[in-house]
Amino acid sequence: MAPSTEFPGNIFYALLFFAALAFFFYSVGVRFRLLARAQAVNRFTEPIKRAIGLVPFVLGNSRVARPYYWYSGLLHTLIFWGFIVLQVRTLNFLLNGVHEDASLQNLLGDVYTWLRPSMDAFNALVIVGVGMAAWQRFVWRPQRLTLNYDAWIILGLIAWLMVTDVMLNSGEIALERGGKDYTSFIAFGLANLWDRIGFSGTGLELFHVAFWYAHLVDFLVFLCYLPYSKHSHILTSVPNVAFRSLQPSGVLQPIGDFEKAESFGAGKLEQFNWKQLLDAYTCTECGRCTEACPASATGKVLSPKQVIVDIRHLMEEQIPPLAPWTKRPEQPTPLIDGVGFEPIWDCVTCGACMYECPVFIEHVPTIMDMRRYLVMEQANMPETAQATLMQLEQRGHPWRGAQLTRTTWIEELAAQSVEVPIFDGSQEYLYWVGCTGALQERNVKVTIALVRLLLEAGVNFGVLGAEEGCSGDPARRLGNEYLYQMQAQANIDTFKAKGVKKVIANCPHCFNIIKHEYPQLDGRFEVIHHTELLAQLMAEGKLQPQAGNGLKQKSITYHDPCYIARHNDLLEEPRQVVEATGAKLLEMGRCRRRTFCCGAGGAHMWVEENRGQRINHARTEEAAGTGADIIAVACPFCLQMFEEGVGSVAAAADREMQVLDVAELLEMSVALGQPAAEASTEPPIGESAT
Amino acid sequence: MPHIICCVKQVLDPETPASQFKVDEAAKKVLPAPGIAPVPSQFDTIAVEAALRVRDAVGDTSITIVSMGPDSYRDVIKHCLAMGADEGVHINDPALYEADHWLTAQALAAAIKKLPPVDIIICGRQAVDWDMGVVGSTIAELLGLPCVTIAKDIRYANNKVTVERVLLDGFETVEAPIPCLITVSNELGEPRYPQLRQIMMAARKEVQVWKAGDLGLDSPSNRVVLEKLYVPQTKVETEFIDGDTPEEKAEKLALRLREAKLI
Amino acid sequence: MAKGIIVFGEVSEDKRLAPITAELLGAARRLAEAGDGFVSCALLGSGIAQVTKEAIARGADKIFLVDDPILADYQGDAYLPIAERISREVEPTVILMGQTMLGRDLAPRLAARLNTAVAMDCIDLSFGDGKLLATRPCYGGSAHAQYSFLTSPQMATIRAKAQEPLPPDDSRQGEVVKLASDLSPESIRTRIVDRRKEKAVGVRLEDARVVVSGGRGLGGPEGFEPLEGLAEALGGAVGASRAVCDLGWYPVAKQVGLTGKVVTPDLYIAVGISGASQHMAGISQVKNIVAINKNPDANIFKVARFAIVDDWKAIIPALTKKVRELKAG
Repeated sequence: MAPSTEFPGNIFYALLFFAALAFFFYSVGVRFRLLARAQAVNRFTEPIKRAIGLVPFVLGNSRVARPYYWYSGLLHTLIFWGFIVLQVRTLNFLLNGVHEDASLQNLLGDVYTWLRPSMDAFNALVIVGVGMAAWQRFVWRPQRLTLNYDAWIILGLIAWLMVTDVMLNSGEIALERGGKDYTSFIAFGLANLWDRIGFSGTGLELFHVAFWYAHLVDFLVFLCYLPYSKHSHILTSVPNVAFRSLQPSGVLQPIGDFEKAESFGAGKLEQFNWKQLLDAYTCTECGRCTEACPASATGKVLSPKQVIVDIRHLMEEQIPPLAPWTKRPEQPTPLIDGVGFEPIWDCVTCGACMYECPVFIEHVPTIMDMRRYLVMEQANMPETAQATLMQLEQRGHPWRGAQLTRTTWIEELAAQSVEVPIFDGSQEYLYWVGCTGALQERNVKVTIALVRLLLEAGVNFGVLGAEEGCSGDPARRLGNEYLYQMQAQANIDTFKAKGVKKVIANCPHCFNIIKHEYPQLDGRFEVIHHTELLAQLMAEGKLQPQAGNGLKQKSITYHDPCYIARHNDLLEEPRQVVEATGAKLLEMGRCRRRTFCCGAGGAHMWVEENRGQRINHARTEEAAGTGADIIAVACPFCLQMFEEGVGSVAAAADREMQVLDVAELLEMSVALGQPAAEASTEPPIGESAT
Repeated sequence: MPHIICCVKQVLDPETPASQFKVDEAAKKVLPAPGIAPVPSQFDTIAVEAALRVRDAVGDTSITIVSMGPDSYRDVIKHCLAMGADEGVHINDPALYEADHWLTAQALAAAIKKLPPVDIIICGRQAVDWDMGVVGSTIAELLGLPCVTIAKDIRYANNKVTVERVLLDGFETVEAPIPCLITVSNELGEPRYPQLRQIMMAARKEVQVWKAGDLGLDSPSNRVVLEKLYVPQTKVETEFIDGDTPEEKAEKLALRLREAKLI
Repeated sequence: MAKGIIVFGEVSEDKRLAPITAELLGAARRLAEAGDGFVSCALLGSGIAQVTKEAIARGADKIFLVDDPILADYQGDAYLPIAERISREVEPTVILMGQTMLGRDLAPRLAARLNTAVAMDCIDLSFGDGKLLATRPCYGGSAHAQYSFLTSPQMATIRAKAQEPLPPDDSRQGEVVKLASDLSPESIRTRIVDRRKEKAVGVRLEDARVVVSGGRGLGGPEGFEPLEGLAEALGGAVGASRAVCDLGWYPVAKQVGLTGKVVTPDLYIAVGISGASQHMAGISQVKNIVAINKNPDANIFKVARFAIVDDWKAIIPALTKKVRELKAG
């Protein structure tokens, strides 16, 4: 039936087909070469897990179709599943084009027949999807989308592909009635329409041939256009998802041997690994990453999507141009210039972008690789970042001007006859206090509250006191891997020397780094976050919160710290503790894994924001918007950020909102063996708990 | 190729929390606070920065670091090498550990004489522990060199230096012939953060170690004696100034500040 | 034989005896009581002859006056040979200078020339049995060190305002000796190309000896105007807390605090600042903090040496006025 089964059609078919394929493979090949030149990375571990993941993530569109993006999710699943299903018909179409007896109908018989209704249905549904997409791009215009011609070309090609498919099928049915044609119900209906209006004979044949070639050309043009379009994701998303990182999202990779490393971080495209470059070819420009990014939301230059798109453009610069008259710049644009200094420093490593990305692009490690390059190869960084690194190097902690020492809080408790055990290997847990918990007055209150709770619950723990060194998180997130490794190695050596096996951490950054990143340096320890432990102790009855503590009349909104909620899936335990106090728990819109960073991540606790609104002010506004009296936190940085925020943001200051750590809230609610020497802060405890 | 020599020293961390600052009055020494590492004296790293800026402007310049002190001073020399200096000389002799400013200058000057001919010697205006501010100028006198102090900018061209100095109420531009000695102040700017490759190279670099005998100082002796070292009893008792009117309070405050020699 | 004490005095720009000279003379007279009682004063400059009378009135027994245009601006190569000559002629027990731009530069070099040593920035001196004991702050002011000398002459520079001048006694008699500079221009190896005055308000925060800082208690950017006036009167710089920099009331470059500037002035006046730990980190080394805040529970009061609980709007203008008065007189 296909016009290409005989001369001259077969010539056209062969020419078109092979020319298109040659062009397509050339286009893919030159791009693949860039990947081949990049750094190696082992993404072939756990192949079964990787393969299984394809089912929900690719086939199931699970990330694309998240409820809060239901519209895009719907239109995408229609088009995507349509394409999957219609591959069958496409294969049939191509086979048919070679020889009239070659067809899936013949091969699969009834199976094919009963696939036909769904294929026709999808012809229509895909057009519906395209219509929804067009509406979104033309009328609604959400900010996250780049409204460029690329999308329109793709939508046009898809729509036309569907139309030509229906038309050519209708012609085929009209010309060669037989079998169970009614299963292709739309084409069948159209065929009947042609009959009714008397469309037949040569006219109909020409109609069929025209739409046959139109369909072929559309298909081949689409194939050839793919590598040049953001739609290349239909080729690259399967490998990109298959080769995704199986590590938790808050983990960075180490630089192995500093002596042998050719470069520290990425200052050129080929200093990225091939997966990072593949990411750039998989970006669909959906913009969900940017929409979730706290830096973008508050007016900074960083747009995670733009970073990836910029990398893609830089890669394109390295590809020999199609048209010989197109000039490429003499010197390719350097990577850092192409992406920009500010975006590299705006990132707070919160991972919201990576959580949203439907195709598992790894924005944060890519930005961090460039940050490492700036810091370690060029020593080029904002003043505040430089001052913090100097401070870390010289004093071993990031808190310049701290008047406390790592043991001041221990001495304070000793003065109140509370003896804090020093870790000596005999205890079950090491309580890792962290720099902030020891050196910042406001945070010392949390440390003390937690210690009182641990003692009350009879937890067998000890602290390191002056032997603690910075965990290395600030250095690592500032991009100084060398300094990080020295600091981490020192701690790992201390842990091993003292026989540390289990660690309690209340700082999510320390928690994340000891749990997931110290193993890279051969330091393997069991780490538990203080909220996890507190919830556990409550469940075991070792801590019994009483409701009569003045908190029953209060409402609390809990802010999920990025580093335990999103990067470590710890969502319920802190809430359990907050609710156990008897207060009413109110949730912010951006909560749980969609939490909005307090602004201190990525070492931004110490790096100034120079543009737009302060991230912590934006989040404080959101917290104030819930109407809660208290903001509950589970991170020392969040605590500092919100304390500053409630003093600066009118909505919070006017209501005199308070900020308290989950441990402080629990301590207020638990009947402690000894009287609390000093009330942490207001509110006053209504009825005495003791 | 111009040769610049920078003199640097190590000090106890000036940002040690106040509660940790303790003096052993019998030994007449400040006790190093536990767990707080010593650091390079701030003006000295600025001196190295000044030398590096001359190199940035002029091209090939060799920069030598000279430091006098016990073993730990090696870290300061390494830090300066990591910033970009080429060579390091460590005068490490117990006979000189208790040197006063005069003897320090004498030893440093003797070391400078032993090194290849120098064009500019750059020192910090004072060390941030003793705050004396005499070693630089004394070295200049011992070597018979012109001396320009409290510099915030150094330009080297045509065999002379143009130095911008900081005055109490302004600035002054001074020209000096080379060789000369310049002391720098913090108005010059922040010392650069070392690049990692420089840090790694510096770690491998050899530092020459010299003794008093190598410098021709056979019986080194001080000229001043430290009689007492103590923490002055400053009460951080807050004095709340009272008055019937704000104006009265303000006047009383001004008078109290004058009494306390603060204005 | 050692003949008393030499004071190297200074003449201010308006060709009057600089206040430091009177302070040095006062200190010298007190020290001289324990010695042979003789105080000489060297005065170098151009067009300065008229100050000798006051110098004598303030306590000098003998003035060495070197009045020469070549000495119009201080240069080490010009002043040093003259200072050396006078010192060698007099052979004093003690030489005193001010801890001024001149003294900082000249004293160490003179000490080297005379094969002796100098103690700088002294706040207290005592003299007995021919021995000078000089006390000076060190370690950023956290400690005091007292020195004695093994060589002669014993030299010290004195911090401004640390010593009391004697009230001028016009009846005092003294000898004035005029000396030629004996300098050839070629012997001065350095050359002053130009000199620029800068207004005190432009003093860099990190270098200022006095800082006046404003916080949210100012209520708005206009609040900084009176603060600038006070800073100018005190010869200092203006700083701001992070909160007000964020609000755009003052430039970010003026921010004092953990992520702003760490400052170490001798005097820090915090106006309308609550004393958040972030801010405190920027002033942790400051010895003398004055806090002016309406809220008696403000954290800043914990570290303040002097405090006023009141509205800054009334305090600052009155304070500025009084400071100007005191500085002029």
